[in-house]
Amino acid sequence: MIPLPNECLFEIFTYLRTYYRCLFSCLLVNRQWCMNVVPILWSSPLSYFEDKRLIRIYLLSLNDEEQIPLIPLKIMPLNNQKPLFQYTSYTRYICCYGLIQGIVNFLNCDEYNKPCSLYEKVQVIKCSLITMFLRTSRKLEYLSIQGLINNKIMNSLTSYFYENSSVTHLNFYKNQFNFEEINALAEVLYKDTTLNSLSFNNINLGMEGIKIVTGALCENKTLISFSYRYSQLNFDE
Amino acid sequence: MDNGTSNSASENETITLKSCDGIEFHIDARIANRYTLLNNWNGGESACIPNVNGKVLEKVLEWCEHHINDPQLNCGDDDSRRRNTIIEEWDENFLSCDQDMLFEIILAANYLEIKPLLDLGCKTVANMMKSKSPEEIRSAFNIDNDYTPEEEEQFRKENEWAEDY
Repeated sequence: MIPLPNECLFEIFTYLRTYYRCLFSCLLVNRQWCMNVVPILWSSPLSYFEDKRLIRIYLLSLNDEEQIPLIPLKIMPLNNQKPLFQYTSYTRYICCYGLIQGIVNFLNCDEYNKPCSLYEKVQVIKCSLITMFLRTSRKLEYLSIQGLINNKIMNSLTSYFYENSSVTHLNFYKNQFNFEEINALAEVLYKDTTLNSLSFNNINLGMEGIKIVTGALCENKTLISFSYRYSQLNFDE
Repeated sequence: MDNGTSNSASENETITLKSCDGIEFHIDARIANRYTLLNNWNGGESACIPNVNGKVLEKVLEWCEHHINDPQLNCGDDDSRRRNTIIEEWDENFLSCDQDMLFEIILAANYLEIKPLLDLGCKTVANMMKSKSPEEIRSAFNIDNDYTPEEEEQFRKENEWAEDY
């Protein structure tokens, strides 16, 4: 074969973006192909799959600090070898629903000690994984966060906007925010970032919280879309 | 109505391009107007297009001539274009050449920044890979496997989730 430069190979593989099985075959052809396939293959798998094997690789990408909350859960893969690529650096879309379902599938695949309920386990793992994505991904465009939000996520999220503004869509779903967190988000909104769509779904920001966010929105020049939905009935479900 | 193909050259105007092996082509000036890089080599008596030989340039120009009235692409259409791997009949026949020529056309289109032809070539190669195993792809394109067995096994394991979809 006449050797093609990386830019042409990359173009070819973009036409196979949704043909995952085919990208898998291309990746195993040789090193040059692998280098060009990985950024495409790993850009948005969570939008499509809830595969426990995917979650396993994500867990192997956690650093020591992100692994600490997971120690009591005893879920870290035994063979703790770091992946050959930092696959998560290519993540562009994080759909929290897919992530949570993937974690549930991962947890159901083996027997574990049960120091806490499945829901709590899933949320703890989700928080560590999202923190890891915010640390490693430099191309993140879409992020949805569902359920528990802890300090680490909030700190990583605000730092992400201050240091690297690639996120254009940010969706929160069924989260609970304290004032400190609402203020941190408002600070982000005061800043000109790449963010152009923000939504809060099934979240009670409270009157004071709404005032803080609204004040920031009035100063924001980059948002094109903002939505806030809250229904007391749904929220308590 | 402006279909996005209007340019300053008239139908009878021609320009001369020379391949790297010295073969001259007299082409409709509207083609060169459409693809900036072709225009850059217009007119120079000794100016040749480097890296593109006569055989390949002839094919590239044949494609350009056939598509001279196509609407110009917008850069913003990238994603929707890449979701579509359907190829029109004329283009399919045009690229039913030997594999070396297909790759030469891709290289030339990339070099000359003829984006729609580059897309077409890439799409054709992508379609050739569908439903093939790594071994079949290596054999179809005559590619050497430079992985160590351990490395290949680890890549297989780390990406095996994709194999089922």
